This record gives sequence, structure tokens and C-alpha cells, in this order.
Amino acid sequence: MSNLVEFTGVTKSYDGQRAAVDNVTLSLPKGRIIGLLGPNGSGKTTLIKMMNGLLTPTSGILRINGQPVGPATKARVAYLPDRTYLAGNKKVSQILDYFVDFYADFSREKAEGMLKSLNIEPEARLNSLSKGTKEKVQLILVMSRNADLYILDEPIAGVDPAARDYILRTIINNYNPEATVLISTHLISDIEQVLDEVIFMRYGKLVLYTSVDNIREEKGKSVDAYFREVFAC
Amino acid sequence: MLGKLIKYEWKSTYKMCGIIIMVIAGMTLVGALGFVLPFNLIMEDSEALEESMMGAFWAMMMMMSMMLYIVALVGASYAMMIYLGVHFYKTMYTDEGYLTQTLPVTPRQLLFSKTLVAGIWNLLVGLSIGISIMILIFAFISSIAPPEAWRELDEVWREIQREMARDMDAQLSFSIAHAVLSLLLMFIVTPFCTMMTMFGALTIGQLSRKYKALIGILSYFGMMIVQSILMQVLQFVFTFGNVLFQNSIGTENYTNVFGTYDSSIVVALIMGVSMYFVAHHILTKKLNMD
Repeated sequence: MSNLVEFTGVTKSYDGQRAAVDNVTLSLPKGRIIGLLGPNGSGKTTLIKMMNGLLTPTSGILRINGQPVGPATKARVAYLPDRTYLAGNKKVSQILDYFVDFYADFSREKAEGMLKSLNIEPEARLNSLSKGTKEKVQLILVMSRNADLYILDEPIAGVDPAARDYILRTIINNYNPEATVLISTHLISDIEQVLDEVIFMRYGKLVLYTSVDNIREEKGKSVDAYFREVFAC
Repeated sequence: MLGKLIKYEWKSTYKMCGIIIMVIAGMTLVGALGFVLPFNLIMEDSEALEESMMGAFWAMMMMMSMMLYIVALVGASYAMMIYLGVHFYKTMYTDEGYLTQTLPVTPRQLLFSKTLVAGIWNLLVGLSIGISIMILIFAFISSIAPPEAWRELDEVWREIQREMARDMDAQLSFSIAHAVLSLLLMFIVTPFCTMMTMFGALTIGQLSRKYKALIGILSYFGMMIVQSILMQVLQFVFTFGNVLFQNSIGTENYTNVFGTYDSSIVVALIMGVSMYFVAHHILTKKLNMD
């Protein structure tokens, strides 16, 4: 299976201080759901931002689909950041128009179907929606794309357990099976059942990249229990 | 993609920019009425007004409406610049930037679309202010001049044009065509270059780890200082070059009025183009979104 993402000695440091991501070499294959796990400040978000072109690596090479990060890779990567990136004064339907115009792989029908199932009115303005509903709208936008790589940064943080279930269901039911889904989270137990592989990071370094089955078979533990063991304070 | 970026940039700015231009239109009306009506009253019955102290009142009203008008015009111009700068910063470098910067477009397309739309608004606000001032002058002259004065004014204007063409060509060594072209270029080019300079300066702020917005604003003021120094230098070069040229052909008239306009166009272009490359480099090689 050919690799979708290739990190080769990628480092990101700010102002010459300690590296937020330190010499990471990693290859992510196609067709997997991968958990990006680590404590706060471990470099997960920095890694994700570099994959989306929001941060430039200090050194090393990063390629997605064999190409350096740029317009071509951005057209094939669906990214859910850990914040609301939509203008509050826009209507949901206007945001759908925007995605239709800029992303060739965006399905308006799929998005409208998901909005309907959640009773989100397309004519509602973003700033009239609750925080949880805004997050759901963003997730719907991302999962309505037929991308090669879905990158979800903390998709279930700050939402109630029922919403978490909905978000996980949405991810599982809507992603392109040929694509890879990279999910960054602290809430391992909530997403463990959907993961194929996990990446552990600490202090910007890659600690572990293995399959969930490996952890269960070799360590005899759940991913959550093993994470607690590895990152015990 | 560029067309789509321009479309959305236009859609996201037209409301506020439209309001600013409407304010200019409104102030033109207020200015014209506030200035011309009291003037008419004074002209109609100056003696009676003088006796009743109403003359002083109307004169004060005229002065106040004039001041309000000038403040509103200057304010509208600054409001437009501030709004466009804030809009650029917000959509490029805050949370909304997470969407903008992950669109499948090049930094060149992003910068071009934003500069084009902001430049058009800047141009429109300049045009609105120009038209507003002309309306006010027209209204003022209309209120004091009898209809036959317009015909005389027209003839005076034609005579000035003839004199200018003849004298300036012969004595000041520049042509009316050059003057018109300089002013036109300055009017059209400067708004776009000004916006690019501002966007470039705000982008420089992204190189800072903690104080991105502050460094961006300070960079802008720094650019303004550099721009005025460059203008002084170029103006000196233009004037000095002109003196040498006049000496070499034996003319004693050293005036070169349009050297000022030429130098401001050249400096605006240098700043705008340089800041485009700086912004493009940062967006491509140094982007650090918080």
C-alpha cells in the first residue's frame, strides 16, 4: 500500500527555542483511521498545522500524495481545526456555497442531508447557533468532502457525550473508505473503538506508531490503559 | 479560483464599505445645505441679520457645518483604511484565517484578490471625496454667482487652459498631457499600492511569535516613514535633475511642479511591489498561524 503522508526529519521550532516538533520521520498509509495521541504540548496540533500549510516546517520534508504542502494538497485534505473558523455573520447556506465553490470534492447534498438530520436550519446565521452546533456544522462541512485525508483536531473536545457519539458516527459513516482519517484527541477511550492505528507523541517527538491490534495483543491492554502507562506522570 | 476569491472578498466587504461611501454622500448633503443655506440667508437680508445677531449665528453654523464636513470626510477616509486593514488581518491571520489559508489557492491569488478589492474600495472612497468636494464648491458658487457668471467662468477656464498649455510647455518644461497622466496615474495606482503596503506590513507582523498584530501595525507606520523619506529623496532627485536640465538648455525657470506627483507614484509603486514580494515570501516560507 502506497503512503499518503510522508514526514522526513520534520522539525518545527519557534524563535530557535525548544522544538515543538522534533525530527519526526513518519509515513501514514491510505485507508486507515489513525489516532494522534499525546499530552498537552506534545506537538500534535503543530504536526497537524504543518500538514495543512498553516505552519512552515523549520527543517525536513513533508509530502502529501507525493506533493509538498500547497494548493494541490489542500484540495485533497479536509481539515477540522480545534476552533471555529467560520465567520459568525454568515448563514449556513452561504458557507455551503463557499465550500461548493472552492472544493471540487464537496457534496452539497450530503451536507444538506446531515444538516437536516440534526435539524440545523440552512438559513440560520452561525452566531445564532450554540457552540456545540457550530462544531457540528464544521464537522458536516469537513465530512461532506470526498477527500484523501481527513484531519480532525480535537473533534470531540468540549461537547457532551451524546454529541460525541454523533460526531464519531458521522466520521465513521461519511469518510471515504479509500481515505485516511487522522484524529487528534485526549479522549482516547471515546474514540478507541474506531481507530486502526495510533501515534503517540511526547515533547515533539514520535514515541510510538503502531496498530491498535498490536497494543491489544502484545501489551494486553486497551489503548487508553497503555497511553496512561506510557505517559504516567 | 482567483475569480471566486475576488467574488467572496467583494461580498464580504461591500456592506461596510458601502456604508462608509453612503456616509460621505450624506455628509455632502449636510455640508452643502449647512454651508449654502445660511449663506443665502445672510446674502438676502444682511442688514436685518446684523441687527438681530442672527448673522453671527448663521456664520457660526456655516463654520460648524464646514468643520463637521471636513472631519467626516477625513474620518471616512481613515475608517475605510482601518476597516480594510482589520478585515485583511481577521480573514488572513485570526481564526477565520484557518479557512482562508487552507483553501486550495496560492498565496499570490490570495494577496491579489484582497489587494484588488481593497484597492477598488480605496479608489472609490477617494473618488467619492473628490466628487463631494466638487459638489460643495459647485453649490457654493451657485449660491453666490448669477447664471451669467457661469458663462464667464467657462471662458476664464478655457483661457487658463490655453495659457497653461502655452506657458508650461514653453517655460516649465512639462506638458499638460504629462500633468494629466501623472495625476491620473497617482489617483489610480496609489490606492492599490497603499493597500498592498498595509497588507505587507500586517503580514510582517506574522514573523513575531507573541505580538503579531502590534508588530504589524508598527511595521505599517515604519513603512509610512520609509515611504516619506523615499519621496523626499526622489523629489530632490527630480528637482535637481530638472535644474541641471534647465541649465543645460539655458532656461532660467526651474519650477517642476509635477516632480512631486511623479515621485509619489514611483515611491508608491516601489513600496507596493516590494511589500507584495515580502508578503508572498512570508506566506510561502514563514507562515506561523497561532
